[in-house]
Amino acid sequence: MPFDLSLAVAYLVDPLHLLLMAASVAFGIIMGAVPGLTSTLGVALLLPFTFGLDPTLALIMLGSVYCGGEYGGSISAILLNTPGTAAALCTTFDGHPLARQGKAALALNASLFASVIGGLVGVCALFFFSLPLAAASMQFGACEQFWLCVFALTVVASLASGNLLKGIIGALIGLLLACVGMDPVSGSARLTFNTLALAGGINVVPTLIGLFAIPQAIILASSANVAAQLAPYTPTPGVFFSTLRKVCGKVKTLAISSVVGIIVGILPGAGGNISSFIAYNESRRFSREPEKWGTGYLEGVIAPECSNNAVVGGAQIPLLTLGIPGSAPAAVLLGALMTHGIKPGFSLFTENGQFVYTYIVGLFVACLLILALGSLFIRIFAKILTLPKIFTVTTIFCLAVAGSYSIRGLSTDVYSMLGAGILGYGLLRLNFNLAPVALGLILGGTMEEGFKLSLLLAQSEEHPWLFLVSRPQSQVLIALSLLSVAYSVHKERKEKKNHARGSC
Amino acid sequence: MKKVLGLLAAVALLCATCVPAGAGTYPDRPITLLTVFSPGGGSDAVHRLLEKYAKGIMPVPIVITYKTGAGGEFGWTELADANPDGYFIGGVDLPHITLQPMVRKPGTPGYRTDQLQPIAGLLIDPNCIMVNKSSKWRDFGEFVEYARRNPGKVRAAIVGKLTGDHIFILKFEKATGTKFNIIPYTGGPKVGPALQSGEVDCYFGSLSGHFRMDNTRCLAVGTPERYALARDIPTLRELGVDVVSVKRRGLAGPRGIAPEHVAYLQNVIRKINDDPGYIEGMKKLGTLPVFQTAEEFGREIREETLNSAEVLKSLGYGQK
Repeated sequence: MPFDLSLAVAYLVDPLHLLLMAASVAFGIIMGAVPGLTSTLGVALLLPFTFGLDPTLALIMLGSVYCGGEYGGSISAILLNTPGTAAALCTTFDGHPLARQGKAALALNASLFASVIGGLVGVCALFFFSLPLAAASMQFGACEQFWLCVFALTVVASLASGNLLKGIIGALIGLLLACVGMDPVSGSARLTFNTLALAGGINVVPTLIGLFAIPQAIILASSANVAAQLAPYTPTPGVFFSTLRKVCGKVKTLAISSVVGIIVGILPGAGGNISSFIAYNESRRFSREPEKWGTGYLEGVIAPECSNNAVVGGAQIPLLTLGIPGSAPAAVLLGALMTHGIKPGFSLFTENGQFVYTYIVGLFVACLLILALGSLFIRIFAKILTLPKIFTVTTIFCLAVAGSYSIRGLSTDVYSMLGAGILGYGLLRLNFNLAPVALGLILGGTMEEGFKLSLLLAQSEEHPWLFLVSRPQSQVLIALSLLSVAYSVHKERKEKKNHARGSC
Repeated sequence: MKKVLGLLAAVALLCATCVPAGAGTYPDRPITLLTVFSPGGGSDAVHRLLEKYAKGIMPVPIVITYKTGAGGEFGWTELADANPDGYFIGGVDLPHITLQPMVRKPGTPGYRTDQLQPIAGLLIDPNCIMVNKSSKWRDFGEFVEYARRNPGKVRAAIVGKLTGDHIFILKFEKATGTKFNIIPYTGGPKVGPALQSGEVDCYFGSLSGHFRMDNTRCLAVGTPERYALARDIPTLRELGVDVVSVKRRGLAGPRGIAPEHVAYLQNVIRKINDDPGYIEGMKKLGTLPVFQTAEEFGREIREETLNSAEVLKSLGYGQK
């Protein structure tokens, strides 16, 4: 390894470099926390400002924004039940109930620690295992993209909270919404009613914002006491350290989630949004109290947050070793590398080792900066809960509208946000859980693309109809999906039996 | 105090009345440049270079704005419908702007190619044929020979359906008598792993993408002569295949923009092209800066329209 750690550290502790990194992390956290603004956009916005800097510093700053953004999404998820990014969606399941129970500080700190730990584990994987992991990731193709989505869809069984039929209907609604627009492979228009607006498809992030934020705002506004607050909030002294101890005690959840994050991050085309669902589900499966998940269970915050930050390290493994971005922000980072005349690849590690390892150590430092800045931000943001409800409701509405417009600058996205909000409110009144709808919407496009590409690829095979199930990598994912379904069915039966016995 | 305030108010009033008086000179306020692809992408990088190097040449700054989605169709529709006052222009890509209106589902609203007024051509990015570094085909000859003998078996990646890549491979098939199993991926970053893992056998795409990827070999390039950024790669013509296929990027405004404004902007771009820093920046992006006047770029667009229409017709599209 042609690399000198002391030089890297010396470079990073330079006060100016540290200050710029801290500013980038703070910028990232804010971008993540505001619904609609994503870490991808944050990295892209900062990019032109780094053109004049030396490449190492430029890349470290962009990487810091990426790290900060992945963490920031959890803040609005916990406080406002509005996922700041698609990846933070799972954090709303337990994070917001915790906030409503008056434990916002606990949830926010837990998400902070989990994010930092996940981020650090991901960066370590990037440091130590880049080359072998990148080679392995190449074995995942279109078929596996499809099967990975199928595996993620089995989460529905556990998200549906006791009503499997409604869960499946919800997921199907999500998948149907994902079908609107151009077919990703053949290019033909579907469900567009001859409008250009729908031809581009339903954008996922504004729809998610609408689905979760608008019903929340309506429910808040319609409850009798207008002066009431969103949730009680009493800052308890010593919550920082007591939460740290609690989070560090959940070794199993942290381990499962960070490994899931790294693996999903490495795979091209799948990022934090898919990994947080899988991490949530798998951690719950191995939990001793799976029935408490979704009601404000601390590990339900830890699992998705730990996982989507581990993605940051994972997604950069194929980026740096092969020039293949494992996630959307990583794709912008690739652009940054190119503008600085750095060509990613195995040779980057052998010929430009000092640069690439300084960058990786820089990401490590960025994670630690999140810890420092995050605990500061929490104190400011948590005040949101103490505001009278009238302010919160209007803030949620304004953020939802501004956020969905700012993604692409299209008023269509605002309409889809509002439409999704009305749909979400209706479904909630019918006792549907909204999470499966969101899951279907998030996975739909990726899943369809994997499936259709596989069908086309199969035409060159001798036995085209066996292609989807013949690859060993696919078979592993199929087996995992079957196990997941079987386990859920088994558990449901057992619960029903217990229930029947209990009522006797 | 009151006197000072009064004076300030008077100055402010004076300034306010002065502004319309100076409005005769173009440009007197920032020019908005529309980018129809995501921030941080290739198109954005080029526009950022223009923004940087226009300083000092133009008295007003360029402000970049984004409208992304539907492969650029949303943004270009907005551009076509914009006020043609010379303060709203956008980046356009060839052949995208000629293909989209032709393949659009009848009855669906959207821009037409002739609603865009060309301003200047910026760069070319040739199409090329890429294979994995360890591919069994050592050169172009072996590749074509194999494809001829195994029609429909060779998996060829392209990006998108009915796009520049697609037209390129269709022209190639016609010229060489080959038939590929065409796999349209949704984006360049997705083709990289597919090519490297052997999921596809070759990739008909942009040369700038080849520069970006490790472990790929380029068999042939679609420029008429050898390409300045890759002198060692043979052209298709040299190899006996009469196919020329490149992508171009330029600037355009809404139709109706005043000719003197077009001329002004075109000359700004011409001057930017004299800056070595700009040239260097473009080359780093893997594209060759090639300045074209509004008229030249317009001719290019018309030629490409005829060209695309012909290829699409053979597929049953473009009867409109």
